[in-house]
Amino acid sequence: MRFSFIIALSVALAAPAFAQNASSGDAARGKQIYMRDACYTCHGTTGASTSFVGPKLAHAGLTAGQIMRQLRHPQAQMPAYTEKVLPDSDVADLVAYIQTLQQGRAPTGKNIPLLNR
Amino acid sequence: MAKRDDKGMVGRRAFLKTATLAGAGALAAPLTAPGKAEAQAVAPPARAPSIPAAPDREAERGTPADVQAITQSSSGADFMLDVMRGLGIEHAAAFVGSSFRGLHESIINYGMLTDPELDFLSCMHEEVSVAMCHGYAKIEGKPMAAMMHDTVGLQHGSMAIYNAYADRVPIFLITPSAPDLRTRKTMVQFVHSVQDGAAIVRDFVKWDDRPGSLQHWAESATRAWKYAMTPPYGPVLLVTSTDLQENPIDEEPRPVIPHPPKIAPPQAEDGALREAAKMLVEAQAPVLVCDRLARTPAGMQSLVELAELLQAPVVDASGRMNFPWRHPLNQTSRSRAVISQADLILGMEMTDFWATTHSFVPHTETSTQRSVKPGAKSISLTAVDLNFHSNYQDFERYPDVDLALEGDAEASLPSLIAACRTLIDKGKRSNFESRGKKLGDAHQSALTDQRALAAEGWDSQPITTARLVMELYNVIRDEDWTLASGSLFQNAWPQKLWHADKHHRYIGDAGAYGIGYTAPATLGAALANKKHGRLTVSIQADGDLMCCPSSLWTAAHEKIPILYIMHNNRAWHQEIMLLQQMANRMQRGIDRTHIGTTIADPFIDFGKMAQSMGVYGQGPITDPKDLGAAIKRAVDVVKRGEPALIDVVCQGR
Repeated sequence: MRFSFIIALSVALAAPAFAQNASSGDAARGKQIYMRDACYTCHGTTGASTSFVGPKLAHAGLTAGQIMRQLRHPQAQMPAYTEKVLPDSDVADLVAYIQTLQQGRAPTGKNIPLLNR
Repeated sequence: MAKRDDKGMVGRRAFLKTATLAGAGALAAPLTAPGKAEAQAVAPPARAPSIPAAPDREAERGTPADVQAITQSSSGADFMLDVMRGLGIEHAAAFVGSSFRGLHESIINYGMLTDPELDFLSCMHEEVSVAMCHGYAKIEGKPMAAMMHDTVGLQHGSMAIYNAYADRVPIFLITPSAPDLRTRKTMVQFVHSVQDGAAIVRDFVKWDDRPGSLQHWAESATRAWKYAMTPPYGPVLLVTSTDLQENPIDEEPRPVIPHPPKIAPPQAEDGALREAAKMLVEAQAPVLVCDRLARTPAGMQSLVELAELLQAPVVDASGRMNFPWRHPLNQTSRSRAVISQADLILGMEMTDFWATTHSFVPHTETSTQRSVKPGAKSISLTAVDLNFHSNYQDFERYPDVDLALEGDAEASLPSLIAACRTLIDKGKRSNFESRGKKLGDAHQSALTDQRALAAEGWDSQPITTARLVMELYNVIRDEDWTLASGSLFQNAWPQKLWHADKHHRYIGDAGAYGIGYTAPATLGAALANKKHGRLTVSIQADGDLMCCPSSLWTAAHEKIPILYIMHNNRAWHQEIMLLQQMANRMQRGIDRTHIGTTIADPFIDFGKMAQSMGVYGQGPITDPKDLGAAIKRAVDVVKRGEPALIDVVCQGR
């Protein structure tokens, strides 16, 4: 219990600083990392999560801090992406890309005839 | 042992034996003939005078007693074929093998030329032959035959047999044997011979036998068919002597063919069904969960009747077409929500009932947790408990149920429904209707959510799986179609977004998830659908096709109409995911997990591959805007009675 509390606290303290870094990330490179490091296998190429495994990322209202916390100290089934396998600079780019998936309005499919048969 | 006929004799066997030995001797001589000194050194001990040397003994005997007939007017294989026809078997698929040449000859010159026809389907791998039987049986509701060369052919076919066993599918399997070593004429026949031919697959066939006479074969074939067709269905195997196949019918009394019985599937005990009915009617939040429930259209009708009677949610694991996909009570998209709130779960013909009510604790090796409310009860209804083998562990985790109904779910549902009806009064009916209304609203809401999810990346390249699935549906929805491939790796989009309310619309997946199932099994389904005039489509994974690419040649050669639409995502993405988890644990780098998991450098051109085997091929299609027209062109080809393939480059996930 005490150990978990310390982890949670350290993550909470780390998040704001990371959020700052994330804003300077390169989203285009982050997209390459998203595919190279197989984020898509659980969350879907478009972030729509079509694999039964990871949650939807696109239009999920995720903040940089939340994404960072999950990468470094994952909940549920997700493996840990430590600094050794994913340097801070890669994380920043990745977060920048995932934040682009939050932009705009989520599609409803109502304007796509094939989806309304 | 070879037998004589009355049509004239020439020493064919003696000729073959002489030729073989002469050939072998010619080859062997330079290698083994010792020099003079060596010959003296290895000279055998003197024989006892009462035993003549071999050449002398042959001379004394004159014409051997077992000289084989050059012609004959009947064969055991013809009799076997009549037995199979009596069992309703219409097709035998095989990769040619000399050990079943007796049956092969009988099928092509007798079975295919007389009624009722039993035809030979040419395959290039036993995995294709068996998987074709697998898909065929799930559409037609009865077995077809696969013949596999002794030893090596059966070894090839074994994975496909395991798939069928785990999927509870009836198949009539034949593998030959030459138990008498005197009848084996070549070295190859020895290395293909085995004492117990069925041993390699005995753990995953329902029954096997090695008949010693034609009468024995007839009775065992009928017994095998009966066991295969009694739930739980399963593959059966007859190890069939080459001599029995090839030699004339000379048994006295003459062998007779038994009548196959009408089979009454095992039904769960009436008292236990009444107890289950009481629990279902009294429950506040019952959930009906199913996997391979509907063996026939009647199974689906019964499940609809039970669900509507109770206005209870249905969660369909989709081992078969159990429940209409757009029925308001279909809550499969909301399975976690309804199961977590359930106070009673009825699992019918479930593969993994335990996983319905449990999950693993994240980041632990073995810790699990119940995913249902405390105090929730569960009932299992399955025939699988009536026939289980222990070696292969397809029994999954133990589902700690409160009531285990031992019987076939489809056969038991009418009695369960009748028992429920007697317990439902006006007040309960009103409560049920209220429950059903909420579930219908939730179904519609889930459909809206799924459509929104499918819209993500709608126009992107590579093409999304949702786009692929919906472009296909748009072309086939007014046809009488079957989606013969499993939908697991397409995110079950068809179940979420398509209308399907007929039993033959969907037939589930491989059973044991042995890769290489889809291409041949869906071809078998298409074979069965041909006479019904149905349009068979298969969303074909690229990796799966590369296990059995010769399925395409069989499709063209046998003129079986099927549309393969390639879900070409150029990797085994699930394996990438799992390998990535391991790499993360080891922390030695996570950017090399493409090694061994991708189908790249070079990419495969599946359209050209299809064309090379005589199948209409298009692609690769990379722009989603081109997809609809390409599918229409291919469907036109299929409607003409030919196979077609479209290569569609898709997103990994």
